[in-house]
Amino acid sequence: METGYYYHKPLKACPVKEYFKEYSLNEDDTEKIKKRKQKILADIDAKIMNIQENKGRPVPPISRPIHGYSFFEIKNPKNENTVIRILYFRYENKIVLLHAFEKPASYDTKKEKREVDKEYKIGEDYLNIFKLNPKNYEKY
Amino acid sequence: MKNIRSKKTSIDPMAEARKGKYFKQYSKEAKERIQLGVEIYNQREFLGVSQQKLAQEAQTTQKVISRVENGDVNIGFALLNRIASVLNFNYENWGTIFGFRVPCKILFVGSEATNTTTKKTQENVLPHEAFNYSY
Repeated sequence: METGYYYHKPLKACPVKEYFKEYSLNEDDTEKIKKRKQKILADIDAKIMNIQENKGRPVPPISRPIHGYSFFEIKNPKNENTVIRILYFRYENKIVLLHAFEKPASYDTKKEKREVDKEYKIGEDYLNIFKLNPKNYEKY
Repeated sequence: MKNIRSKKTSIDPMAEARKGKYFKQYSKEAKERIQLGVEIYNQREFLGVSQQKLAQEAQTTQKVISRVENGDVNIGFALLNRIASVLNFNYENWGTIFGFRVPCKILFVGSEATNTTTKKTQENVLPHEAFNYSY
């Protein structure tokens, strides 16, 4: 089983890969920031590898299906108040990383729920576009 | 439609991070935390214990249990012991977490068994070795 980044043609980029760029190391980063960025990416990578070992099946509590959508979600904390969400789905023998976004660790307001729903809908759109052209991905 | 697999559009931050000097160590630690978290989650679900109840009995909070199960935090020895005690962890649970196989006893019955009086014998073997015996 292999993993790939969904490639969105209008953006000319892979949304998840673009999100990961936030954690790219810069020359002027302090050692502490470098460690923090690498830790976040290592944690996400370990979760993706775990899912890959399980043939893309959601492994609770590492990943879980989202009610009303056809994809699964991987959660990883960014800090005390923010959680990184990565949406993926299984297609034939592949895990396709569709979309990534951040949301508060806990939220109650309708506005926040609407914003999260908006991100899920983007993920669903990406999924449907990918199904029309399953070659639109880059190797993870 | 052109297959873009062979043509990467930009640098992959994950691939770059893998070259970093801390990545390998963090990756190993994350893998171990995930194994522990999944085992705690599975055992808790198996016993039908809620996170709230486990937290109460292990003298911690539901939020901590949630984060431990998600593999997001390092867990102290004392808390791990309390959780293991509440969830009745056995050798198999620890074997799954730390990646070792637990010896088990298998019973041979029949004329090929070494004890000719009882026609039975016992031997300690690792689970995967049990299939190598063909009595």
